Amino acid sequence: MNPDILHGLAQASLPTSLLSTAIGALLGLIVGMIPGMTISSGIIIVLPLTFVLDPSISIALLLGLYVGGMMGGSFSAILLNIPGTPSASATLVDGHPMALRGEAGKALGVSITAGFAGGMFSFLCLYLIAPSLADIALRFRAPDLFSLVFFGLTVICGFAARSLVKGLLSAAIGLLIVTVGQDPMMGTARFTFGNADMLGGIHFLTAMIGLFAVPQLVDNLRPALGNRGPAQKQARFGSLLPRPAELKRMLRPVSIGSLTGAFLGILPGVGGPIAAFIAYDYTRRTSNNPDDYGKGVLEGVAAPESANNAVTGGALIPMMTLGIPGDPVTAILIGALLVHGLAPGPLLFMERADFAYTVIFSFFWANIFNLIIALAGLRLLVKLLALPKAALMPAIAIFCVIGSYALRNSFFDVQVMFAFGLLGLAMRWVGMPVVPLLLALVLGAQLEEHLRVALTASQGDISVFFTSPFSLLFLCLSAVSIIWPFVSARRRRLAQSGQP
Amino acid sequence: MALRNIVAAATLLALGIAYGYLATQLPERSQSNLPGPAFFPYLIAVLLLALSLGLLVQGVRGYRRLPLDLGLPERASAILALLLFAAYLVALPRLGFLIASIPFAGGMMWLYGGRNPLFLVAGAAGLPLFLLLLFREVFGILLPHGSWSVLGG
Repeated sequence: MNPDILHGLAQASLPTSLLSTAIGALLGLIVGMIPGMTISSGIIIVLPLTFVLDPSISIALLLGLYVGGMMGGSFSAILLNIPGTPSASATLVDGHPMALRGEAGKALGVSITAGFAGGMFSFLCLYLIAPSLADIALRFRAPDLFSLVFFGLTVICGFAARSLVKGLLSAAIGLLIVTVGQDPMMGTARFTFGNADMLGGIHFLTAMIGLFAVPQLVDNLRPALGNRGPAQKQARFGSLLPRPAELKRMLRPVSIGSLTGAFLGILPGVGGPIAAFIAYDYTRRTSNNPDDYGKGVLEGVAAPESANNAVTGGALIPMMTLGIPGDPVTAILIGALLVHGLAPGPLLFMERADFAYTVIFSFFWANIFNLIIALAGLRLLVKLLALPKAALMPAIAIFCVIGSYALRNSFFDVQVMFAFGLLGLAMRWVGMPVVPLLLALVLGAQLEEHLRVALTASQGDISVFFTSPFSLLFLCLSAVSIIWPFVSARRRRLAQSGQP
Repeated sequence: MALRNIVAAATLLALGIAYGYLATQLPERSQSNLPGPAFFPYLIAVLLLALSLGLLVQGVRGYRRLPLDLGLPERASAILALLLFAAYLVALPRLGFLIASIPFAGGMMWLYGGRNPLFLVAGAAGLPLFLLLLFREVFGILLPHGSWSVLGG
């Protein structure tokens, strides 16, 4: 066997890594479960620790949190009819009716086992596809890499926004912010206004903390959400593990969900909610009893839960092999690795293959611990749904400050974090998504560097982007992702006007 | 939303123009056909201006005379929370993490509905102290040390 694989497995299986994965999974289940908290909140809490921990331990912690957060969202969806995370929105359609019928335990058990199956399927995809994709990506030259990053940004803008213009504007603002600081090729100071703090540029982790946490703090002040965490329904769960007959019924929806989630997870920007709804819809349409869906069938829980958990492994594939994050969480994972001098991308598999496999096997352990903790601790975990916001939210606010300060021991970063929080609120006010901005912050420097390297090498000849087959393919895909929202909107309008 | 689009588009147009102007002040490379430090900012300025114009057109087309709804400042508590946060950031470098965080935590707990005095006092003092000990002593992470504070961070 490849020694890097064995080394990665050994590193991910060290007691410290396993403990870190388990803590991450527990924290992820908690933050995913509590409405108003998100996986990003959990990451903000542990972010300062990742700066001082060993990279393999940091990544184990973050992966545990990512996987746990995806699953935790379904608990409140089933018990309270409030999805803990957006990815769990499809789960409540059938999960909550099951809980109302007194089958909360069965719904939670199906959610946990289906989520585990989806997660393990995506682990296999990650393990099998990532190294091969990295091999292909190693052949990419600067024009191909520019077009690939450009494609990633256009897909994100198309999927993340109701209005493509607003999605692209959000990305343009992100790219503008990236240019603050030293020019990546010549070191010229750009847009720093003589401020020494700005020479280092805006760190996207501080931007991320502000963009996600500050609007969340404001959201949780709304009286509609209540001043206490939603009261926990004292449901009697009974047995959580599905019976053999129920497992047999889950087979088809879990297969559909896992395939859908892993495939859509690979596409940047698609994310858990879309995958979960597509899997749910396809399972319902291909079912013998489609009318039962929405009334509380276990297939309606199994399909979206396997899909949104399969998205996690799928999203790690482009992150690790191409350096392109699929969602905010994988963007943060990239940031956490960059802090340790490890740049995700094809070179990671060539230069630090042992570490790449550590990440892959940490993801495997994250799924295992997630299952164990969810099954063993569910009865205790759901009691946290009653945690008062008066205790949670101030802690989140202080964690924001600690996280942004600890990054470079700089008050400037704390101020930047708050400024991005205000920007996030302003963007929400105009209905502009923040995800394209965040991902532009992650990808912008690469985009500029590949563009300038390609143009310098070709002496300013832009045909270089159209003569390389890879580059041409990515540019065509970019054009499709830009045009597609207009085509689908037109089709929707035509369909609506055709209705009586 | 149309009015908000117009406001956003006008703001971004102004930003795009200012950004484009600042980009013209950046040095060029000696070989004019090769991209220098200003090349990428130029592209972004053009993109930003074009998209802002697009948003402006969308806003003007969809504009209806509706009462101006500012949306965000709909609740005084949201503004209070942001002001408290801003005050905390001002106080932090001067007072240090512990001293600055205690009134901030107390104020935030009150804003999120905490009314029990014992809970407020214990939480406001306990939370920053716990975090200080956890991060500084257990994880070795430096927290802000105030220039006026004798207790430090």
